[in-house]
Amino acid sequence: MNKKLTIYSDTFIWIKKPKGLIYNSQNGHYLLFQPTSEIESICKYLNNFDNLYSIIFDDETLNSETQKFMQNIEERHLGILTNVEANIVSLPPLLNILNAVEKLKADKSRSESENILKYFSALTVYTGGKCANTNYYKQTFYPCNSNEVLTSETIINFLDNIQSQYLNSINIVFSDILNYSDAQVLIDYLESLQIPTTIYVHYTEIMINNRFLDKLRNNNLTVKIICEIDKDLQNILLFCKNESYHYNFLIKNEEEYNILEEMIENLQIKKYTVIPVFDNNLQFFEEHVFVNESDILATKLSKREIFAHQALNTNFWGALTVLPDGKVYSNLHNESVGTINDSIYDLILNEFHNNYSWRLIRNQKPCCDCIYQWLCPSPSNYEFVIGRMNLCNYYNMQK
Amino acid sequence: MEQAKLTINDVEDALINLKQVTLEVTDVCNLRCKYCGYGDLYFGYDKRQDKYLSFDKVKTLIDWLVYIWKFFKTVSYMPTTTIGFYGGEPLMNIDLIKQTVEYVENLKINRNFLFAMTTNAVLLDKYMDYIAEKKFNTLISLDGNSEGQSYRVNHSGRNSFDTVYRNVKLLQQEHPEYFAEHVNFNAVLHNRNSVESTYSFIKNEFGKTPTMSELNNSNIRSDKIEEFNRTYRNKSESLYQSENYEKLAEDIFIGEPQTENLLLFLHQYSGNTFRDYNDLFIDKNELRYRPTGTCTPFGKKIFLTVNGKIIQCERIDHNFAVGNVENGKVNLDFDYIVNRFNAYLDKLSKQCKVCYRKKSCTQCMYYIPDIDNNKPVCHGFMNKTDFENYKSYCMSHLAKKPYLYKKLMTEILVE
Ligand code: SF4
Ligand code: SF4
Ligand code: SF4
Repeated sequence: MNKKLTIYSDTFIWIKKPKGLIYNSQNGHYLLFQPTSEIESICKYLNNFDNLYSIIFDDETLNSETQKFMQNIEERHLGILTNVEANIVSLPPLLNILNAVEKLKADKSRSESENILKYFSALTVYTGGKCANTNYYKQTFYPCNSNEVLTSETIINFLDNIQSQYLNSINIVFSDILNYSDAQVLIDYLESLQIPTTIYVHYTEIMINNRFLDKLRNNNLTVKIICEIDKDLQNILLFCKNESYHYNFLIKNEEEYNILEEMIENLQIKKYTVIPVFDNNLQFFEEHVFVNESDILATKLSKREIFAHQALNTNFWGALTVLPDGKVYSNLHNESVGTINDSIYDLILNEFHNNYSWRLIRNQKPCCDCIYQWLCPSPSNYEFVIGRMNLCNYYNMQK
Repeated sequence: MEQAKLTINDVEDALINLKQVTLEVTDVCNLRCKYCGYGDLYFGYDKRQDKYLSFDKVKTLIDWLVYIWKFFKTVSYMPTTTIGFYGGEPLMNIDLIKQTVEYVENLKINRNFLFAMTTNAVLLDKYMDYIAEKKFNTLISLDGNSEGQSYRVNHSGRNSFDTVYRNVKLLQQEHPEYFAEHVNFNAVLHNRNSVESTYSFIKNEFGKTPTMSELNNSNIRSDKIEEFNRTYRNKSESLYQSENYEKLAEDIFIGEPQTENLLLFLHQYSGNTFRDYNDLFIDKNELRYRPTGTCTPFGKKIFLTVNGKIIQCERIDHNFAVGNVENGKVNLDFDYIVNRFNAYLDKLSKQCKVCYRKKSCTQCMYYIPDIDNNKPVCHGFMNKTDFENYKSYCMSHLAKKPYLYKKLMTEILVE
């Protein structure tokens, strides 16, 4: 008997042999399957937009596996089986960004530099100075050790030139706040901007600067203390604990995590984030940071969130970082997009041309061969420090 | 979905990033089209007094804008602003056009300028070299063949077809590249032409697909309603009546009203269309919406009338002017603009709140007939059933032409 299968509008069909996945982004229901050649050709037909997610088939001619597949689709609320005449029209997911760069390029009357200022929303400045020499600043907010220091005057000039109403977050990471001249001038200026701003200071510096930092409590200034788990930390925090601070705890292994747990409990710390850092501790990452199949499938993503993964990098989008030498980066693991003396438009355009990070998506191996390509979070700094494009136990997943 | 209001910031933003300045360079016209918006079928415009816009006023407005453009950061690197010349017949005031173009070209400012004009082409032979040199985006009003053009008559009542046809052909011959790139046609539909006849005439003669508009059906004088009804022709009807509907519909593509509606529907309701990258971070259901489909004042353009009035566009009643240019000064009170706009919105907000079309509303509030009364009624209002009908109207069109889905989503370039 002829029947019609229609896949629901918010549902995605992905095939990356030897696996296939149908995922309904409205309710998180899914079907993992093995694409036999018959099933594969049905999926291909469905994924052709001109068929509007419907296929008419003769039930009796399908092999039993395919019949089961069709039933599963309906049982898991991924689509609907009807008679042939049923008047259902479904719109397969098809991302259309009206002002996407490619479209602007294709339209002779427009320019790819249109409306770009609104894409730049977050600025991080590393003031530089003397501090511990690690590359952690390439993974998370962490002091950057340098001979050069960006003076408050330089930073203020740069921000003055940006003058964008779309900038809605500023991070200033101090390396050596004790010896930073005119910190107060910079802070006063940042307050006057009325843009949410976070000041990052390493915990080894708070003993001396506690009173200064405490004064920063203010509507649009947040102070975050970067903490590493060592023998001094507990004492320092005991001494300088402050309800208004937020703590970023960097951890490298399980042992540190256990110490941290206990300390948080002891000191009753409320506002904190735990951040794993990569430092030749692949095993720890594999066990605690890498995603596995069940994590991915347990995270419900909307169609919009999946589209976002297809079009841009949700971690890096809109962010620029200035290093102490005045170079500006969209991604610290790549070339700079310019310097603080360039116009903000040029910096943004450079990122658009080079795509170092804002539109960095999972289109490289092995992710491009994986059915979770668009469900997985966008690539992050970890991929760069670890030196591989997937943060998962991919090969285990292919079974 | 909560409602939002217009803010001063919105208006300032629109001016900083202004896309178009439209100048009504004269109210004089060398034709006397029977259905002209400034003719005797309509009310609601300043009386035509054979006036010419002065360069002083233009300069005052542009200088004021330049001040804003220099002072504030624009959202685009090198924004483009089109200076549009509008009439009457703009070529009747070519001196002002030339002065303005020269002035704008010599501004020392980080902005691209383009020039545009809508013309009846009667004087085109005289000025075409200049127009082509400056690469004007030119929209020629032509209602089709001689019969179609027969409402567009000169002052002694003679059909302008021969003159217009000859001039446009001349332009095409003398400046073929310019013609191919920058010239387009608009036809008004009425009872002496049809979508089919107009399309095929302009396509065959000039290789262009014209846009087609219906007669403006607001502000009709009460004693002229009968005449209006006689003359009026609905675009969809005209299209369906054509012999080769399928082929024609394909050729004019989104000029076909049902396809145009489908495009709008797909943009608003498929959940697949996003204005720009940033929108991928926003849950639209949490977004506030501004009632009606009225554009932000100056979001599309600023219009300066021949009398120095400032209006948000040339298509609305001159009573909606929000300021003026007078004695070398631009008088625009942002508070006044915002308050007045919001006061109109307030009158409609109740209806919009329960209207099923609010997410895709295209209703300009200035076109709502009794908007100045206490309780204006929007005739575009849709209840649930209306909306379901609208939806199935769009979807059944798609079911008949499924290939439109990909085509509309990937090939149409809109802002
Ligand atoms: S990181 Fe890449 S390979 Fe691993 S599950 Fe995600 S998409 Fe697949
Ligand atoms: S008709 Fe209304 S919505 Fe359209 S441009 Fe004019 S004011 Fe804006
Ligand atoms: S159609 Fe009319 S009632 Fe409905 S949202 Fe638009 S303006 Fe409001």
